[in-house]
Amino acid sequence: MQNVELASHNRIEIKEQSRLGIGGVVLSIAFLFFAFIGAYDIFSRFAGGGTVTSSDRDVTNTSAIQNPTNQLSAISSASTSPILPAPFVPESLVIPEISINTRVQSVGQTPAGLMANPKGFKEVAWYKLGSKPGEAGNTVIAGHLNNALGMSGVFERLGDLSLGSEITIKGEGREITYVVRELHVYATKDAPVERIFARSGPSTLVLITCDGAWDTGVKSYDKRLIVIADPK
Amino acid sequence: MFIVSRALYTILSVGIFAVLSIPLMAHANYNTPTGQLYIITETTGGYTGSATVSVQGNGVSLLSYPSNTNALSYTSNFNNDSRMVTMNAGTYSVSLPTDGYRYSYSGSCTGYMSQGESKTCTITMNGTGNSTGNYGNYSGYNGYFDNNGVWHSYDTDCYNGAFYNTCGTCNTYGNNNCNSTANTARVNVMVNVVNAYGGTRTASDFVITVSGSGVTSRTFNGSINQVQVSLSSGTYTIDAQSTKNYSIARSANCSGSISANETRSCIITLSDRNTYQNGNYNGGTHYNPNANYNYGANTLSCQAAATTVGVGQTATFSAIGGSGPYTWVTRDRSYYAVGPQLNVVLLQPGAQTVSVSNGYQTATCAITVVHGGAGVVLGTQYPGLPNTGYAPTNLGLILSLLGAFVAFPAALYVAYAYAKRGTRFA
Repeated sequence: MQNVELASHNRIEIKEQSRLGIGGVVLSIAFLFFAFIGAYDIFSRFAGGGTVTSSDRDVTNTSAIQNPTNQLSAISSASTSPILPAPFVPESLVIPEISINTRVQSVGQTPAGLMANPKGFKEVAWYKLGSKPGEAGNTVIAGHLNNALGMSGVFERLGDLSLGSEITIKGEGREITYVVRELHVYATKDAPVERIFARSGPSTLVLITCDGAWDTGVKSYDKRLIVIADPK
Repeated sequence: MFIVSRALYTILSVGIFAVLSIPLMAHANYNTPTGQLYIITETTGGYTGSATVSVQGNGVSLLSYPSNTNALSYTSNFNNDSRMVTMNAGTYSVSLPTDGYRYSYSGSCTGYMSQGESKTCTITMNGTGNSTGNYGNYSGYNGYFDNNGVWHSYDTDCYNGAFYNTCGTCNTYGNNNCNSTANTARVNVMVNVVNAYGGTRTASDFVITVSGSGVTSRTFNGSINQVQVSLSSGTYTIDAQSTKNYSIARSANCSGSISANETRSCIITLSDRNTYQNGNYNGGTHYNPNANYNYGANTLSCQAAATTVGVGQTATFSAIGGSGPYTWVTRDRSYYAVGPQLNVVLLQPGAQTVSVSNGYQTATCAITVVHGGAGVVLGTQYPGLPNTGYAPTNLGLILSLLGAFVAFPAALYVAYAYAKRGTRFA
């Protein structure tokens, strides 16, 4: 009789501990997930110096950021005409200075007439209705500043570039290295899109990401950071 | 005794007179009209027909004293017919049936009749109705105005109970106000004048006529800027008048059958002509395709709104000079006998040539269609900047804290439970 009671007690305890085991596995996975996200976020924030805005950038480091009133006067006026490879569809973007080595997607326009965004916040998007690298006109590439969780996007540190920073575009077995010529911060609604997306003139690389303050009304940042680079 | 008998005689006489006078006095009081309404019916001319006049009121009567009824009617020939209706004090009204004529009423045809008051009600028939007496006529549409001035249509395309509004279109509900745009078709009319032989006339010198159902503007002066004409669905024709010494070319949509809510564009090109060339002058009323016109002084050229467009984007080309109608040819198809402007969506990337011809001259436009798959529809030539950001949030940090302060202690507890189990069953 005592043995029967002891066996019954053990079965109950085993069931309880089985439940604990399953819960432990789930919680451990959750812990690892959250810890990973937290570590990644903290790392990216501190590595990148925090969220960059036009107002808190290190002026000495980004002295090339132009006042919007100057506009893109030289956006399509590279002083030299280096020999370029045949135009190609960009496949990867490399910016060693800010540790970017990412894949390039091809996008068109949204129904609202905006350049479409890249899928995901760690890759960038090339505007395929514009110019290819090596082609006359501007090759326009955009990347996210952040994601919906507030984590760093691929171009969060784009504003850390300075004049002379090198950017390399690769694709179809060819590549072009560009040198940053200008950085601009434009009010989103006033940006000179006809210049940014110019389809004629010297071959130029244009990188775009969000900047400024979040505008809740339009669900968008109120400014855009534009980086202009010429073939090296 | 004599005095007594005279007194009795007098008393009796007065009494008898008084007794006999009671019904007479009563009748005299009953016969006094409380109110008098003179009803005059007349017509403005044209066909006159009889109609039944109805009078509502307190004890209305055509006799000289009120009746016990509150309604009467009589037939009037509207030939300055005049009647007197008596009634007791109270409200009253005079009306006619909705029989195909439009009637207008003076102010005293409805109101309140006071005791002893006398009023005159004048009803005027609009005599423009036809001889059947069942139809009126309003801007060419069959139907009638009711007493509220609302037009009721007998036309089959504006069914009974609906109203032709003052636009000449059919309002399903409501009134005759021209404020309904439902089911209205529209044609944008542009007049292009080419003066190659010294002509001096401009678009506004030509009168444009529009025939069709429910047309808002049947005639108007032409304009190079589009003039929008609203009309009902169905067939229509748009033409230019007084075109002497000018040849006229009308684009395909200047006539035909249009559907409700459809919008079309009609381009009328008027070209002055050398009236002495080849003896083929036809009076200048219409374009003579057999005439050997000299277009040398009016060279046709093609102009593209943009030299580069995206795949799926609308490209616009314009024919400059020459005389239409024009035929446009793109890589994939031809557009025959259209106006001097072509809007087309180009789907094939690469350099393309679009040509325009008026039968005598041909010009070409060069355009480059840039990258993008077929079917991509572009809103503008240059896109807006991408939206590459999300609302600032610390959700990632919150998750990391959650991991640190919740999941980690929980994992420790589970590890402890396993350790305890191992001890017990060792």
